Amino acid sequence: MCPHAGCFVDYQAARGVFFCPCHDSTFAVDGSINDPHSPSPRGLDTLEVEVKGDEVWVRFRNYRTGIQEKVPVS
Amino acid sequence: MKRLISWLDDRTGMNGLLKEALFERIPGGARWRYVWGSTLTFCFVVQILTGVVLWMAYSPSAGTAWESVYYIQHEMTGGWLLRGLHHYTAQAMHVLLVLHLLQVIIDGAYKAPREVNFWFGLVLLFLTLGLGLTGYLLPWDQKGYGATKVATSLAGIVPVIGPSLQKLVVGGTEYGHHTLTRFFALHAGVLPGLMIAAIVAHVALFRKHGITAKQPYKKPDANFWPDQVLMDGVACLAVLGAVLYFTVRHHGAELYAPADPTQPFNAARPEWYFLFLFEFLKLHVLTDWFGHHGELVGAIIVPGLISAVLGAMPFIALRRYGHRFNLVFLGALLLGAGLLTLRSIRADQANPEFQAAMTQAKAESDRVVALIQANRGIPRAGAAALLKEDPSTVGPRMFAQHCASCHRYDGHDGLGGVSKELASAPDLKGFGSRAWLAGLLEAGRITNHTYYGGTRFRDGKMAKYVTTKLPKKHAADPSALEAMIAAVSAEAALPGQAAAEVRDGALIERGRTHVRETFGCTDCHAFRKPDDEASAPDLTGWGSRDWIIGITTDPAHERFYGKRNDRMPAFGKEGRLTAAEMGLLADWIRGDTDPERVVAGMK
Repeated sequence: MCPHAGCFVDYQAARGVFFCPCHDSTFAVDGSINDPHSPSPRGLDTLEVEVKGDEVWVRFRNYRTGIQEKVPVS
Repeated sequence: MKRLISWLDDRTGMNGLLKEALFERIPGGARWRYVWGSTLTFCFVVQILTGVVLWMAYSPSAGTAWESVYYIQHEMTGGWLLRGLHHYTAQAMHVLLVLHLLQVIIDGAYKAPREVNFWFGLVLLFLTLGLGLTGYLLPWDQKGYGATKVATSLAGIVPVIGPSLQKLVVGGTEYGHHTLTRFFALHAGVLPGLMIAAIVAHVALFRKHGITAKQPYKKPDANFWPDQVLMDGVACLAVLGAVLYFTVRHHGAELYAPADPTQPFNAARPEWYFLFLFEFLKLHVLTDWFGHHGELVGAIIVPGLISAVLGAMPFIALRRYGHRFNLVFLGALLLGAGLLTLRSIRADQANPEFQAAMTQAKAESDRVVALIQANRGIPRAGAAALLKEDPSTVGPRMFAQHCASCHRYDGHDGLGGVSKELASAPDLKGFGSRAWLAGLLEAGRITNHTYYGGTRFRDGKMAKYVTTKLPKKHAADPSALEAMIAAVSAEAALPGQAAAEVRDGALIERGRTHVRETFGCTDCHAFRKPDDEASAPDLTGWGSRDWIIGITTDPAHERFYGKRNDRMPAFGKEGRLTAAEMGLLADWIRGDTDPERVVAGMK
């Protein structure tokens, strides 16, 4: 999800970027902003990940959009 | 009859009320410029009526909302007409609101003592926008879902109360079912209720102060009845005519594929009357000037200031040149909004990504209707479940995700995305068909990047054979190649070639002999009987569903490339794709997507 306004961001294998369709802008594979015209206040949010045995546990959370800090919606 | 009316009048005083309404004085007589308020009231009544009937068929839950709107649009008698009327009247209301506001400002009808009435008008404007916003989500289709998600995200950036406000409208931290039930309550209960109250106040205050007649008077004073009533009636009919025109032209209102939170929907856009705001937020000047506060400034502060100026207009008008300022401000506002709307539409038209997403969205919405009709109804799991097992929906997505880093489909990634890099594996559009095979067997083409150009087989035995020996054999017996191609391609049993294969039975039979004898394909490949010596992929069932599932499961299997496999991963063997997923992918590549067949396969 785009931290700008909550649009669905999808990975585009062909271009090797995360693409946000709302403002036609992109994020690098590591989630950082790589578009000089990006309206986003921060890069893509990372999630907490934990490896338990041979399983990967991801703690999914939503974060507030439109602000520079990464604040979870709770 | 007369006695009944007078009985009723004694007890209600309705005659007096009617007289008061019809014989209201209009200084300077009836004029067309006074119709806007009446057309808006008319629209509101249409919305209440159509809205209540829609409500009778609508089922507000994440699991049934889309399905019930599908029922209204495609099954219910006159349902499409009802939806269309509701949809286009809502749009007409926004246009009429602007015209009404313009007339009120130009005629000075907002000045003292009509300030409070003007404010009620502004309240009605915002309530109408609110109804538009909340109504957009209710069909629970991809477009409304995606666009409204953005709107609720924006609510979160309001200072101080933002996060609580967002939680309230979203119904928790996750956008979903509870958002829908809240939006429905707002759309069908809270907002119309407030609107009725505001309209009553607006009309009551209008009657208290009377009409603001436009000077100079062109005619003598007259009553509301009959001339103004006629003009209002004509204007309302014109609005209805326009609404009906769009409704019939578009056969109701658009309905995109059911909302699927797991799938991106790149064609999400707000309704056109919100586009100016959407485009405004895109302006780089916001981020350039205000940095990370740009969103707050664009979505909250600027609209807030504009609303404050609108609200203060009756006071501004008291100052010298105040009325002129108001006129210029409103003019500039409308011009700016108009230009932003145009800019947004132009940007989307010039954006191939958006156009591709739009085409895909339209195709998906047609597809789900075809599947429902083939299925003779919507399954218990909902309409989205049909799409999840549909090769023509899931196939291209899986291709883009798993295959497109090496393969191409008609030059793109399955979904229309074009890579700058050359393909490192064959283009699979039409794989198994005669045309595909004919291209492979053409000396100049096998080493292109649409075939083996990006693989190690570029310098392999097959490429060498096609480049050197095959042209000579073809020259010696020109009809043999066509027959051989037909024979090998028949192994795929593609639905698109079924008719041709019945017709060409003799050709195929001849071709099978050529495979062995004339061309010696069986020197390396197995063909229609087991061959332990075979060193190249099996041509038995080449391009069939099983063959594609087989090679996707394990390309390094004896039957396929064996040890010579280039970089193709064993998707099935490694557990990256299930047999069912590989089947959907195969069906899509093979063009085996007839709705009746697909639906039968699900059972």
